[in-house]
Amino acid sequence: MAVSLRPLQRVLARWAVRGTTVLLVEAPGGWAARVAVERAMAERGWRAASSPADADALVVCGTPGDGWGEVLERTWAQLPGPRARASVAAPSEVPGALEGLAASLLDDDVQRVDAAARDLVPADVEPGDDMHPAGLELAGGEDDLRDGLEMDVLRVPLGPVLPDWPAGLVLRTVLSGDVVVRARVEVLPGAPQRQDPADDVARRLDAAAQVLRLAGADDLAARAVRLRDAVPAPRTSSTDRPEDAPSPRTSSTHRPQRGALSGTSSTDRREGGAGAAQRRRSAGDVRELRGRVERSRVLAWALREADVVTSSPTSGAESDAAPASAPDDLRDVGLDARRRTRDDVRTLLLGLLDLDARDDDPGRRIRAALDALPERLVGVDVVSARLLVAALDLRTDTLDADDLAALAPREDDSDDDSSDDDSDDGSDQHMHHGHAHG
Amino acid sequence: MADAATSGWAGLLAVLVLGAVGVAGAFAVHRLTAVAPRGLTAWPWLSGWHPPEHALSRYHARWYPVTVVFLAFDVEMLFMYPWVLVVADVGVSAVVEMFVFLGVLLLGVLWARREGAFSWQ
Repeated sequence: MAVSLRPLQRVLARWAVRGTTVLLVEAPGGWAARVAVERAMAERGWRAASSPADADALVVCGTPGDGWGEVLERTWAQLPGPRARASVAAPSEVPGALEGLAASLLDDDVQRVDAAARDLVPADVEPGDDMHPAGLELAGGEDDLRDGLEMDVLRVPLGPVLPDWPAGLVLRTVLSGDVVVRARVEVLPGAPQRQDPADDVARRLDAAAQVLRLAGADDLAARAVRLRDAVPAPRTSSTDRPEDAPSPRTSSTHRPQRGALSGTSSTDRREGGAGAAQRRRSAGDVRELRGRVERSRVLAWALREADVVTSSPTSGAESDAAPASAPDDLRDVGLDARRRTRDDVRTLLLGLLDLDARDDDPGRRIRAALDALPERLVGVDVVSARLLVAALDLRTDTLDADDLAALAPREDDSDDDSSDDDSDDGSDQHMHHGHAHG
Repeated sequence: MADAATSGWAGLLAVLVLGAVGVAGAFAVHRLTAVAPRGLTAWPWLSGWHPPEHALSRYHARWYPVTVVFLAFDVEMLFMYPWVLVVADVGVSAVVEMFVFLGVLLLGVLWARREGAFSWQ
């Protein structure tokens, strides 16, 4: 019986592998590797998975550091068989890795051994009872942000394994319904990566593509990805030009547009006009994309919906004082607390696609944004929060060791949080009542 | 006539049998070729983390007040169907009564609005 089914299994497997779905996980520093994987996937007709259940293969891009092991193992355990995994630390490893994935998925013996060896029910699922379904606690109550009714809140971590999400970022949120009540930012580290200013345009386009995908503008996102992959990549010269990498002179005097597109002006001159012409064309394409994004009515409509809880704790009397202390700081990083989240998203998205806008010190901008995020996200719904995080283009590979130490995952999960925030919440809630009745 | 009826039933039977065979065939192929036909039980996916609590929870259904207000006006519309048939005969008093009734309902809406029942932001 089994012998006669072999050809059928081979046909089915080959047919399935033609459309393999890949769950991409990016560790900080794995940006180039992920882009290379995405490009190779597009060539093979593979597509990105939105969750482990949707995935045939798990690809880890970059070099995951401390804290990743558990996350990756848990994700891997959630992939249904046949499954395959690969690690891609550098773009050069991509063809071999994808070839290996396809071979592994096609190898029936390997997949059967894998399926026989794993627990089809996780070992930590308990029978549970009414108050502890599957051994989990029930959600606890907390005052609702919008109108003070006591509703259950859920602790929901966002990231690091999440499509269209910054590498390694973990946003530990407490949700009341779909509204963020509290948030804490953590970053799972990767391998340190030297920033290549020449990547800036491609990275902006990548971030813009993520925002557009999250906003449902798939055609515009696909266009941004095509432009990202068409940006002339001066990879060959990234090692042999110490003079123009982080020098303050070049970064302060270059014309932003040229600087962004021609990080390798010396090589550019050497290879003649062809590269320059290509860059000009590329810049024109980006401008054209920006125009489309600006004109798209559907997108404008999707990013216009009112979404912010106006009576959040930060919008009471206190908010008059809070923005006054650091308004420029917040506006600098695109987080104007007094504007609506999706307006911010739209502004940031257009900023990403504006090559004249300069981003001299992305590291400083990103640190400030990470600091401001937890407070900014209070009262924002989950979808807007994801849009905002994507639009901020949080390049976690710019963080240095000190930042990472400050943002390292903490064990004291959220019980501590809720206990020391309780007193604040009480007063905020009180204030909020006054606001609503006034 | 009888022939037509028979052939009609035969066609239906054929479609049913074909459908059943197709479904059974797909199921059999799945059982015989899948690496783990029983399927996988997994925890809910939380970006790579273990869920700290069950998602079974009380949440605020903000459409309830809107639903109740809709129902109130719906019932009020029911009252208006008989009312339009007699309003011409009864005259001014029927109009006044109906608008007082409407006004009372509208007061409820204004109250609900003041309480923030309709604010979705």
